[in-house]
Amino acid sequence: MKLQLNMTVNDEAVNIEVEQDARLLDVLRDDLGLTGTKEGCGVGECGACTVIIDGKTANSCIVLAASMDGCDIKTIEYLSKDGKLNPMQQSFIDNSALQCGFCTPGFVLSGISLLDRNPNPTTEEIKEGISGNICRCTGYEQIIKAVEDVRDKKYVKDGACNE
Amino acid sequence: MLNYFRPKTIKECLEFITDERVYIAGGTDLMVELKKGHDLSNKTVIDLTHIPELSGVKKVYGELEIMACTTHDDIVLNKDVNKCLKALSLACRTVGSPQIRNKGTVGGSVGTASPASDPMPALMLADGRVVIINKKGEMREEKLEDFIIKPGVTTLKNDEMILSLKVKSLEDYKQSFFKIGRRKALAIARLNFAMAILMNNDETIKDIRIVVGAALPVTKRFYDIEKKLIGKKITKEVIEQVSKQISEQVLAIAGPRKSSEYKIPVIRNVINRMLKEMEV
Ligand code: FES
Ligand code: FES
Repeated sequence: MKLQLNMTVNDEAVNIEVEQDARLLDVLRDDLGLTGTKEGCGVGECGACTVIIDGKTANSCIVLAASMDGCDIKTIEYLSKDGKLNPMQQSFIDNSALQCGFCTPGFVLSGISLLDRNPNPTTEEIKEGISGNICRCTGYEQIIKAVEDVRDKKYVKDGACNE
Repeated sequence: MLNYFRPKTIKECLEFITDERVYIAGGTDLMVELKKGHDLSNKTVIDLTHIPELSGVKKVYGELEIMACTTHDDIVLNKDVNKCLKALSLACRTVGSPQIRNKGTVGGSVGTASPASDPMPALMLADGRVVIINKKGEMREEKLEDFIIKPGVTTLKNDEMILSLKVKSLEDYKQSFFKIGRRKALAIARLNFAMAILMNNDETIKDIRIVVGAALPVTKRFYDIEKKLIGKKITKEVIEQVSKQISEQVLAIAGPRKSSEYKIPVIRNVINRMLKEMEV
């Protein structure tokens, strides 16, 4: 039996029928075509599937889609506006904070969510803030640096570099 | 095919309870079970995450009542918890990752009875009790120690659900929580410690509470050791003694496992560190 689901995804109302046991991750990727959200481990450990639900990050691989009725969801696709990248995305590029890029959407959202909550995190706090995301390519130095640069306001709003 | 229900109130929720019920309190464990192939067909999956009454913290008469679906992150941010049961704030801060803390709930953590639960030692520190309601609306309370039978098993009956956790306010106590895990932030605890101390003016111990979890099949409060410490000053010898006693008991209960041995010096260091942190 399918369930009717009403949610907001990237500011758009979504009205969709889902299987009762479907994961949010699958609905985003398969039904809505939002493939920026990735599946790594599928068990809540790697953070590749990170999305923002009602203002807080969550692993969409361990969220039941049915449970999202009435919720506000933001995915990585939400960030760039009119072809311009979000400062966090730009900073990841400038800092070479990605190689294969599979983990990047998750890291970017974790970084943004951390700065929303704590605009001035220490390096330790940044490490903690991205502790739910795993990268198998880069090592974490560049990623931390990328978040630090946004914290230090090296980017203006539209993503262009200040310096 | 599973049957999914999303009640909006506790009353509505009770109506959905069947013998085949499974609760979603945050889903962080259940969804992993599902992925592993855990068969939920023919189960009644009751989603508790949209019941406003089931989340939040109330302060009443020297106690805190933490509603079952309060997330770990809500607890970290809660001022009353921070003031009255600091150890719990600290414990919840170490749970999983930000993503897991945003979804996982205290009630879920208690309900799954994982020995590695981080909030558990802090809850036990404050004489934690589970408040339970059944399908008929009847309530009962049980001490956490009695509620948890063994890993994954509690006294919760099929027609019951966890409503909240009640803990004593330890506002005047100095408190600490410490965890040793495999991987820093994400680790599921391998050894976790909660401690609270109340001192007399003459620097003797008025009350002390010590709980160890994760290393043991069930989280345990060391009442016997606590009792012997009352009235004593915290000296090097006393610390040594306590560390030894706790280590011995942990080993006796956990059985000599490979990983047990390293725990004795570790336990001593942890206790020292926690005392230092609490500045007693
Ligand atoms: S895919 Fe969701 S946390 Fe790894
Ligand atoms: S860039 Fe490949 S996993 Fe992070």
